[in-house]
Amino acid sequence: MSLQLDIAHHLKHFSLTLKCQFPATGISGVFGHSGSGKTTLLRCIAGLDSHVSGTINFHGQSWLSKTKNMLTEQRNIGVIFQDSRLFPHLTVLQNLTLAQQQAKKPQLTIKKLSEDFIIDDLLEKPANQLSAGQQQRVAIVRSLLAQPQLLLLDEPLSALHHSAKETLMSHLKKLSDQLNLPMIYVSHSPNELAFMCDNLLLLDNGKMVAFGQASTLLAQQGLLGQQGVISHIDLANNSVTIELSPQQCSNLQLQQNIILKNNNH
Amino acid sequence: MSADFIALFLTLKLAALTTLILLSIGPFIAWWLAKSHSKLRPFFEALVALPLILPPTVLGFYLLLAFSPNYLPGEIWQSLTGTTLAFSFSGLLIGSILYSLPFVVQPLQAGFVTLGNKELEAATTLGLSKWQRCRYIILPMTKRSFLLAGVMGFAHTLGEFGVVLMIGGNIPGETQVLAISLFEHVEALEYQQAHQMAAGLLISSLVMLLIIYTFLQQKDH
Repeated sequence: MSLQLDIAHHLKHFSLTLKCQFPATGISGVFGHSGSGKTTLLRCIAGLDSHVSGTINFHGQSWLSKTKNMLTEQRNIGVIFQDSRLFPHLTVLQNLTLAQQQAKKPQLTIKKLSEDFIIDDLLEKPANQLSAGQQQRVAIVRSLLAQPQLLLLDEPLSALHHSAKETLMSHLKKLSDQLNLPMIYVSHSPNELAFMCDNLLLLDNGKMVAFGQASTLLAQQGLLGQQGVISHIDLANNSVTIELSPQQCSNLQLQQNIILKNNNH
Repeated sequence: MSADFIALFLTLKLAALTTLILLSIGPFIAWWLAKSHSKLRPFFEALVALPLILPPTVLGFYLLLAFSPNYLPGEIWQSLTGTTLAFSFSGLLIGSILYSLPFVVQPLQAGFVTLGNKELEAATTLGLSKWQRCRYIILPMTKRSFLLAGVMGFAHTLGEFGVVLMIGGNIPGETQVLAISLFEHVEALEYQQAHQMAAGLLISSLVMLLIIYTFLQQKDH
């Protein structure tokens, strides 16, 4: 039982071609540079993109084939977007109730999840009056209340503070285990992925680079921790080449490869 | 009942039916114009907007020809109903629908463009069906556009003259609407009645627009 993908998605300036198999349990991560196709991949799985061809099977059910393209609303998936996409004309509670009404066998309660995700005092507020972090927490709860069989998360914590991120990551991980809910988690943060994910898919320019155990893969790629990886030492010129992950680069606002020159020698 | 009251009743009936029909078909046209990537979209957009700049008599003239039993639409109508469309209330209604189409479609189209796709995609991933998305997301989020479209369509039909005169003539109780009745009073130099009618149309149009813009402003705050 798994999510099997063999898809091709062609646009004018970008193509995603991918053949892989995500396990139908636990949390699988997707990592890659900006523009590598992470969000496109999630949109293809969700059925939100019409330019995709190939096959997608989940739990033996065909979502996409030559003759079939199952509608998004019939796939019973949840998607948490980078921007929360709450319904601005409804209150938080109305957003959650609408989602809960879609659950075939509601098991989760608004009360319990609201407490877990610290939004219980926001329920009567209009959704468009919340901060970005609050909106994202509501969006996560809303997706869970619809009781999807697969949850897709597209950098869901990017709008949150560091401390709030850790709490929510723990909650999501716990819920994935408790509900036996498989998740596919896209993030720019290797540390987030190392904490959250069992498996990891590395994408580059629309193609799979590697797929395997998250911690092993991240370590192999030198993406864990704060330090970069020394890739080349040139004794003749007294220089060391250090490769940094995109996350580290964006933090430092440097190029992807930098050369640190040892000026003491 | 005086001829003026009959004209008023007929005008209100025409405006109400036109608005009702346009609010039933307009959203589908507006949705397609707002969301379609078809190369034909500019053509249909221009076609819908045509009554805005076309002299009403031009539209009226071609409708008069189309309504004639000598041409296919008029011939089909006559074979189905046994009556002619020209100089009848049904013909007037069809003319009004075409003439007021952009006044209903354009506010709706603007509303649907502003709505965007993000909330709709989110609703789809929650499992909401097409009709649920329409009921819980599209209609509540664009209700102001619907209100504006309805009022614009109604108010515009109230003041119709050129098209009505061409295809409806001036038959009391059948095709004589307020604007034509007013024209008749002026022609007969009955300025007092003309004043009453003109002032009534002016004030009612102003009041309708005032109500809608006050409502929209309150919603903004």
